[in-house]
Amino acid sequence: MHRCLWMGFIFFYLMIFISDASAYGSPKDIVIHDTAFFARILSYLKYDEIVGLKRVKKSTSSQWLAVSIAASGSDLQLVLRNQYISDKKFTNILKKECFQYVKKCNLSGSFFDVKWLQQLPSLEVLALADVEIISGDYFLRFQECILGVLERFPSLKALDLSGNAIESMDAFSHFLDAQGFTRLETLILRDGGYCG
Amino acid sequence: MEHLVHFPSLKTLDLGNNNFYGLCHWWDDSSIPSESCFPHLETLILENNHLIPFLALLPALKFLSLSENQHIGDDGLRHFFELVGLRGFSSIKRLELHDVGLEDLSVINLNLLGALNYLTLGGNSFHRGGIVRFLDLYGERFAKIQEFILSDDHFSCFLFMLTQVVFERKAGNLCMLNQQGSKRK
Repeated sequence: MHRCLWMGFIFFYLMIFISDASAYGSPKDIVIHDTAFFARILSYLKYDEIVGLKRVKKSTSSQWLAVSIAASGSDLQLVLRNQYISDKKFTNILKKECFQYVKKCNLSGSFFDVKWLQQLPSLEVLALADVEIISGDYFLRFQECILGVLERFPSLKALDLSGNAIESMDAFSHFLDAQGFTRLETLILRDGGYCG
Repeated sequence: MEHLVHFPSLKTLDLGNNNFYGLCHWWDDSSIPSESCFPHLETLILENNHLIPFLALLPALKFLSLSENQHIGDDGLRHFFELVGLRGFSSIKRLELHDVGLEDLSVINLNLLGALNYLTLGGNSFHRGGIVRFLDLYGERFAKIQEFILSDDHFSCFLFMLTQVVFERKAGNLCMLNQQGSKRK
């Protein structure tokens, strides 16, 4: 008697589970239309997963729109600290669909070619503390390249250039003033050996 | 750096660990910054330079770190409070004066720092007379500061003074002190 009741209970549970699963699809078929829900998912992900998002062939335009809106409203970060960032690595990052939504970039302590800085999207936060920058096979003097790089980011809110040699702080501050970084709220220039 | 003075949006400026000796050229010929200098600057970190602290008068400043500027000393800090007194008020909530060559604690005029709730003073060698005078002058105001950091070397001496001066006078707002040298209301 008990066994029959137990079997009946399992059968009933399975019926509910199957109907539930068919309503929502198997995990492979899960699609996200809701922007707010997707934004919440993004907030739990790290950079690697976020820029790893790719448009699949079956995705509809409405789904992709939801993804784009959520991604653009979230706080995506590109953080590659204390490492050699090869051309191959940068090329792979730039291929990712969500790269255009990155707003914060921290390359502090890393070693990379200046050409990749020219391809970063419009940023709000840029940290380039203690970096080594090359152009092809040649090391660049920091001040020589940083002004040209910063011209691309007029919307910066925070800039960290600590530990790099800026020979002329007057020229640098004049540049910031002339470029009209009207949104700049945080400027960090520690450990530069600057005199004044 | 004078071009940064009128930067309208700047709220945080960190120039720590450099070799700045003076920043008077930031505001032309005057040694006193005007209202238009760094109008929105709330955090200014100048630790480990060689500065005198006339930056007290920046209008919106809430966090000022002058730590490890050993040249400041008693005279520099006295000048600092004279300037604060000229303006009559200060918005500073957090003041870091670690290792600034301070010996006379009483040059810190807490009555001019009405908003202060965090003060670090480690790394200075205070003399006893200054501590007694400080507690005598600002004991009540001192009791209202939420965080007060001293180095371990000076903590026991300070605790002794505090016990004598503040507790014996039955100040209404007494404090609890712990062995790390921090104080909470």
